[in-house]
Amino acid sequence: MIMTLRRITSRLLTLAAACAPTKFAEWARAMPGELDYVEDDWSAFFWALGSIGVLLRFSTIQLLLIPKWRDKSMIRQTGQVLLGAVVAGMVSMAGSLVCMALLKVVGLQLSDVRMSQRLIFIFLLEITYVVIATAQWRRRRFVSVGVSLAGLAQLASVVLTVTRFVR
Amino acid sequence: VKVLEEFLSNPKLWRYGYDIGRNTELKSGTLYPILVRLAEHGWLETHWETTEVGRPPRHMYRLTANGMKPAREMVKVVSKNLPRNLVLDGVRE
Repeated sequence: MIMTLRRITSRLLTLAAACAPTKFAEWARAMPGELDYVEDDWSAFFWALGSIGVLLRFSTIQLLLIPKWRDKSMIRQTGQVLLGAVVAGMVSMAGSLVCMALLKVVGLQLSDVRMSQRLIFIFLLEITYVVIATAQWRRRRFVSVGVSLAGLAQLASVVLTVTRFVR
Repeated sequence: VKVLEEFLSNPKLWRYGYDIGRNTELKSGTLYPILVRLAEHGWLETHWETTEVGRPPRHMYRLTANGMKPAREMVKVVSKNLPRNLVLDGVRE
């Protein structure tokens, strides 16, 4: 069954209206209602497009202005989690650099290092993350959360790599 | 200001969105944010009107008593500041 332009337009606008924030519920209901009174299909289509744009704008603004995002403590906590992740990343990079330097001293290439030896390195890194996260848990809980999350992400990536390697 | 002028042309009349858009030559993307803002400031009152059976109710708008005065002043100020050969809804011959 071929849908007419008017029906497509109406469905699109109704869908956009259903996603509109409750603050603008009355306006979101008004826009699809208006379509029935627009004479030709193309005018209705362009009218609906404009209305969808407005609803999207309302939704975006509402999303950015909801109190929990304006809450300073929320921003600070998010910053601390990110800081924790950055700390974990720096620890990982430092560890890698040290290992590379050691390999250079011994005269080995990265390809010479066996999988089990690589896993030991990852294990040591993970231990370091656990130590940092535990040490910071009382004073800087969100930094500790960031470190833990980064550690978990790294562990997940290692598990994926090993699974592929074993296959 | 075009929207205010449209409302002021017959302040007691209830109007609907598409009608205002057509008369002011404003697209829905421009018109609705203006209507929302006017309503939020209490310049505009709204109500739902059922016209025919089987058709969805229409959202109607008109200026409130509180909105009438500032709307007139705003239209006056803007008209005053426009160049002499221009009027709000087009170029004066």
